Amino acid sequence: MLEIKNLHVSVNNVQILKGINLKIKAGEIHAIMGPNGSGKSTLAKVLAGNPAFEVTQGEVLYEGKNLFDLPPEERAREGVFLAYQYPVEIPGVNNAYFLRAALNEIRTHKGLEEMDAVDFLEFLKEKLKIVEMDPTFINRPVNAGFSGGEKKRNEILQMAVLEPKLSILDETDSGLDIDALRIVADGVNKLMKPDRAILVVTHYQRLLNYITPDHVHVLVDGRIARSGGKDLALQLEEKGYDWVKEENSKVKM
Amino acid sequence: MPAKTLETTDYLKLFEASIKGSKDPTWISALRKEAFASFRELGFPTREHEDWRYTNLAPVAEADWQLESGLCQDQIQIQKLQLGDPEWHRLVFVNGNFSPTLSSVSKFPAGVKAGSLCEALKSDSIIAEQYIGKFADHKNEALVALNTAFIHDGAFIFIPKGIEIDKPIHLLFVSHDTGKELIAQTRNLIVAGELSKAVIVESYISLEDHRYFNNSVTEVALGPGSNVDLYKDEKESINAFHIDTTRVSVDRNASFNSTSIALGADLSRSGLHVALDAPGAFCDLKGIYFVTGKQHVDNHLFVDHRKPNGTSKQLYKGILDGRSSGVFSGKIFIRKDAQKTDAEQTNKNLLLSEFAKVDTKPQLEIFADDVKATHGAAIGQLNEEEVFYLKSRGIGDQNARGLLTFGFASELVEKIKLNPIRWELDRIFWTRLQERPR
Repeated sequence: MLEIKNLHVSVNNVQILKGINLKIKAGEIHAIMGPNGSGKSTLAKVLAGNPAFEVTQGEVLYEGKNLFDLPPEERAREGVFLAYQYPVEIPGVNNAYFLRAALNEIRTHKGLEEMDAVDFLEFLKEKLKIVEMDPTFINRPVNAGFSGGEKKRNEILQMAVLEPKLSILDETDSGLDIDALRIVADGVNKLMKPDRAILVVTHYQRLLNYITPDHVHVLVDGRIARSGGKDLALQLEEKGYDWVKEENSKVKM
Repeated sequence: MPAKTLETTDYLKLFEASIKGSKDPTWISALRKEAFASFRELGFPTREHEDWRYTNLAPVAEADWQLESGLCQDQIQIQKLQLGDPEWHRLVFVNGNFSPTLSSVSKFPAGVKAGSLCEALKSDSIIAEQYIGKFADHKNEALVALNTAFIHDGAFIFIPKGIEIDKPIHLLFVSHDTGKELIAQTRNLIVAGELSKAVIVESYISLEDHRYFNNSVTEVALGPGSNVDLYKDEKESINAFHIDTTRVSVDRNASFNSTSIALGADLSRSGLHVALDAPGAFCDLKGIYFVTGKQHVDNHLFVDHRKPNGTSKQLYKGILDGRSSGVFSGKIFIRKDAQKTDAEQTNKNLLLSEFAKVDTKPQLEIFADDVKATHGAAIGQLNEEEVFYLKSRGIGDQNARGLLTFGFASELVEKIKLNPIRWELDRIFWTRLQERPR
């Protein structure tokens, strides 16, 4: 589904990603872990199309298409979804209104009929259950006045409504307590299907106790230093990121 | 003495023609003559006048306007306009003249008067004389002087003590193209007796896109404990000039709530002056303006706290697109006697295009020492982070900006209590936002 080839990305003329290679197939859950500043969030944001980041080399193929040829709204309509680390607050725009607008643009893109307000409300109420959010969220402005946990759950609610093929979770676990983490992880797991894929970007192993990855990659200084299975995450937990850095320098020597 | 603008219209000729053979009571003729003399003395305000610094009246002054004092005989389909609610009491004016056939007023309680000013000057001259000209300043304000000089028709609303009007009274000022470039000057009077309650809607609309000049004056007197909600819904022709002046006096413990919507006209200027004349007086002034193309919109507010324990709020929000321009001037004046005043003012402006501009001027003059007064003004553009967030959910650029613009306005739109007005505003907003070039 996703093929990242030798991706180099810079922001404000500073090189962040220095040659990323990664393949994600449908049905797979990949985790990207790494110390602060390694470029994890940059990877997530550049895939979503954040204009602050410049691709200096390499390419990304999504379902065989050149991802960077598509503007952000097209990527979303093709099924790419980024769950933000810091979801944006939009006071004055009603949550339900926003979700219906987004869903209808995606439906139109797929050649489906738009959903009217009444049908959408029923549809939304079912989706709210996936993230254990109560109906009062329907009329609240998007993320405005939401607690950290509520914002992250709202991101997963959007995932549930828009049903993306490729979901990128950018440090979704940051700032969450155990209960919120459980709800978010449960939601993500319920939304996983054989024709979908998830890329989890995280600093801590904790989330991976709930969302089991098929592959774990460790990002150090803009490159994937090591890849492995779920055990790699546990090893990192035990030994820290310095261990990977050391292992890598050993290999270079 | 500021230089005078060159006037093309022969106002003297128009004035003499209108006052000749007039059957108005003597007091009105005297008022009109006095006002005309003031107008001649003052002339149209120029940019050198502080209150008109950002609004250029030259196009209005230089045009050759004509007057139409008779009622237009053309057939006008009011229902097609779908304004307000057909259930409301409705007084319709065409080019400044009351139209009994288009109006519909259901039975009012005894003592209530709601109808044409022209009629009231005959039937209720005593009441009219008590109030007309007492609040609006025809001695020092040129446009008020001009309106007063030509007093002929408008809405006359008188509500006796203790009466609550059950439904809104809708004043529809319709402009219709009769082939002449007309000046129409409606004069409205609203008197709310002690403990009375009323909702009044002034709608300014046009059937065509022709050029005309509406210069209206509304005087409102709120008796003690009374409650008046006044809406001003300006949707004039894109080629028209609209100037309205509203002067309000609020008595002890009375509440005045105003909602102003400015969407149309080539040039639109709204002057709202509220005098909190007695202890416990309250006013809440809300406004929204949305202009594009080469439109110019100007809101001048003035709240005069004259006595203690008065409360005033001002919340005006503007959206400016294309090459439009806007002005907001919000003055709060707190006199020495006005202790324990609570005054707040906010003006926020959203510029949707790089060529739109706005001048915002909050002014505070405080002469009492135990008061609470806050004010804030802001001018900004759409937050690109918010735009990106919406795009990352599949929403196209135009829709994303439309949604956010709507979100900006919603703080105010939500507060509009009259459903038909709020729905109509929603509709116009969405249409305008969809029509923006991609």
